[in-house]
Amino acid sequence: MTEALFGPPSGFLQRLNRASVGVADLREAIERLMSDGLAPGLEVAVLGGTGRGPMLVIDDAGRRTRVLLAELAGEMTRARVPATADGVATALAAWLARRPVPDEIAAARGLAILDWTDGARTDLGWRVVVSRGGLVVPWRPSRTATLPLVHQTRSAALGRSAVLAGTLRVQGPVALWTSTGVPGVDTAVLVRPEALLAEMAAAGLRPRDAHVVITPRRPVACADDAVARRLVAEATDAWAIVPCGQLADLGWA
Amino acid sequence: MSGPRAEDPAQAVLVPHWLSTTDRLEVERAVRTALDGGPVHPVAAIHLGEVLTELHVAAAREVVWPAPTARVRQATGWGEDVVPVRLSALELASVLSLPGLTAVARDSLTGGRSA
Repeated sequence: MTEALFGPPSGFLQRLNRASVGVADLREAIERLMSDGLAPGLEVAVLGGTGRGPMLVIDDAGRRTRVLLAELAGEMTRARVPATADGVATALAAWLARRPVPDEIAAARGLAILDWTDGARTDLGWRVVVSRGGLVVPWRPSRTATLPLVHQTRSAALGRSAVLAGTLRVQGPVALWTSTGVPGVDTAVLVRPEALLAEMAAAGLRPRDAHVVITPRRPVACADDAVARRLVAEATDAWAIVPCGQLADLGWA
Repeated sequence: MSGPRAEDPAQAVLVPHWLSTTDRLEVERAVRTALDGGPVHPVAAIHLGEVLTELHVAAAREVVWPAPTARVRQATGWGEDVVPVRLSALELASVLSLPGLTAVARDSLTGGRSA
């Protein structure tokens, strides 16, 4: 999933700002974050004296993530995070919101959605994601996750996606599907494309050669091949057109 | 699965015309009147049919990818209902040849925001 690590990118003027984020700024932001209160099950600590400098340790329901403060500060500098108390605190909160999803949370709440499998955004695959505070965070199995656990988590996520509520909107020859309730997981409907086609038929739309236009995290459009091609004409965002019949062949991202 | 094609010679270039809701409704009305009204040349009828499809597709694009057009609207100060309707040269010509098209819609397709 390609997404800004520290929240939305800063504006043009900020890009001209060469001030760098230091370890002290980061320490201050961490203290502020801890005093403001963390999400339940989440523990944050700064451990020092390992020879490579202080380290930020995050423990989220048993899943531990470690990062050197200097490394994180460097990443923030490269991302042009404003080197102010507020700027660093906001970036840290955004980074923390994207922390790895613990296996047990993925197993309990994961949804299967279609996502890009590569950085070039050309291939699609299924991915287990968890909705966390308005953000859709991908699950990558931890090192201790066993193969049966990975399969069970994926299978449970497919099951949850299959019963996810959504809204169908018919716009002439185009059907638009949006998930209701959880934002950003609209492609979950493609777990059972036959249900989408049945709803479209009930709404009076029966494309001869149904194709879906997919941009991960955006509503799904379904239409005849020619109409789907027209829909993506001159589109600036990355997209993929998949014939409905080939959706079942997509693998896991 | 297929991604963006580098160049498809069979596909005509679609040029965006920025139309408000009023403009789009007028184009739709004029096209429907022409198609329902009397004999239309079969080729022209195909192009006019494509124009009707495009009017729907333009609205669908707004649902799937609203950000790029929102940026244009923000930069130009155009109203929230202004969206790009992408027409090929032949489709545009088939609409402009309709005698029932009002001057307002004709202007919005040939000048104004589209110029």
